[in-house]
Amino acid sequence: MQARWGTHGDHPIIVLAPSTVRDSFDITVKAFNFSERYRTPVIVLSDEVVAHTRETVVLPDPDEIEVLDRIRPSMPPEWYIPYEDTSSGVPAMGIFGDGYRYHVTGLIHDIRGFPTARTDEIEPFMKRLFRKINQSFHDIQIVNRFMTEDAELIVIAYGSVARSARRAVMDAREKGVKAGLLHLVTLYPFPRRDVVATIRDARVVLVPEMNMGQISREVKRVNEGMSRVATLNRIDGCMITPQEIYDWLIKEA
Amino acid sequence: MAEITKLVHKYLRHDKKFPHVWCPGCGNGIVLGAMIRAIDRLAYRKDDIVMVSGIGCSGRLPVYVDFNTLHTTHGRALTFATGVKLAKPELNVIVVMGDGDATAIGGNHFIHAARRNINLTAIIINNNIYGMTGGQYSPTTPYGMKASTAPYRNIEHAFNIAELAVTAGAVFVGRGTVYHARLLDKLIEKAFAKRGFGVVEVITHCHTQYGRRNRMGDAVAMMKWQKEHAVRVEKSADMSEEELKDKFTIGVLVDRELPIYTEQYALVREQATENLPR
Repeated sequence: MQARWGTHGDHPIIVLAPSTVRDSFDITVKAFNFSERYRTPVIVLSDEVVAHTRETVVLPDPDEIEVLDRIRPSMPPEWYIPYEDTSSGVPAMGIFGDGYRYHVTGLIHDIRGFPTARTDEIEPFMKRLFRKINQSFHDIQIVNRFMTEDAELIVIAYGSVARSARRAVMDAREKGVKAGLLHLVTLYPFPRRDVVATIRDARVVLVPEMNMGQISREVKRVNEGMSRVATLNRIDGCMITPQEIYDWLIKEA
Repeated sequence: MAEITKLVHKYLRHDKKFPHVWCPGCGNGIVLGAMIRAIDRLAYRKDDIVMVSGIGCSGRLPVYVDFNTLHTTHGRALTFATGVKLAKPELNVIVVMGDGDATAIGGNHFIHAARRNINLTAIIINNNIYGMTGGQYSPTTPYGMKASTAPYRNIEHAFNIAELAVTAGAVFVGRGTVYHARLLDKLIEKAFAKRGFGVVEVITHCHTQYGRRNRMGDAVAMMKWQKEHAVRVEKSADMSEEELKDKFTIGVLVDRELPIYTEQYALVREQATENLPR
């Protein structure tokens, strides 16, 4: 929530949550790529368990990693408008020293980058910020489905909890419980379409979280009463174990 | 006079953004003028200059000039500037900050940038107050003076910015005032030309916020105050402590050589590349 709403004013933002050590590497690469493609800050929202985990990982060859670069201006500098609206909403970004002299500011600015207080300049600017993210939900919203096709009990988890949940779902399946996991990699913009499609046919949805329930609110919001949404919260500084989720799955089965 | 005006005109942006935000009588324009004259004398190309600022009246300064300009968050001008300099060491990075921006919100960045000796220039415009936000007292508001958040008097002791920079390890430290405009031109030019972390503290006035609350008069009266209270650093050596009591020194306080961060960093990179297992 701090990641999404932590500033004043309004703005879209991309928030990604890694669940393992290897995931932290891949998601950081992904975050940079999103940042370059959409010219936006991206937050890699790790949790304490992921941060303290030590495990052996094999990193990919640098040549195999997909690396995206920002769009550079191709026009002569005197034609360059640094924050011009385009169909993608992402203007070309000139580099200091290359002859594209322009102003960068943290204030709301016009298409030339200068601070502005004009309502007819601010609104199109804000709309562009939202549009460039909103029209690319298909690219930005990443989820991993695990045994969700025929699942009656769905666990929606992210971060380290997703790892515990995966174990619990595997164990429950062995006992014949029709459990599935929807692992949210992108937290914001909230992957509404994927969540709705997955929970539509579920009997009960569990959202285990290491807080008093932050993503569960989002799930309840998009659920609109279709399925029952349960929560499993821990705020005692310890991780949510596979056993806790497994016990819940067995109880609900 | 006409020639000087023409010179400044050459470096201003003409597409938008005038009139500026500063109050009539403000010293910021004098500082900007001094910077432009120094840039012109050093014959820097516009494309090679990155001017970085933080928040406050001084933060608006880069908006008006036709360089690569970067207006950052409060206190973080030096951090952004460090990033620019490391990514593009060939560019001339100039940072403009206010006293609050440089020594309160960005106080840590300031001493560590000086300690690292990053090859850039920091111009700190010291008006003893947070002017833009409403006259709150800053780390440089003198003891006993008034501010909107200290209506009785300020009970904190002020930072001496230039001495802080000397102690923190800056290789060039100068202090000037907007009254001593020719000296300011020279100090800023020296700081730009200096390789390493150069600091120029510019004593200026905020007659709107600081002067009004402390009954110091208008901009002219406050510049007269600068004239009466500034002592050349060369002259101050022969003066007694009693004579220097309510004075401050102006001129070059430090000019020394130390290893430069950006150059050292390039060397370490070279070394690390050589040692790569292949």
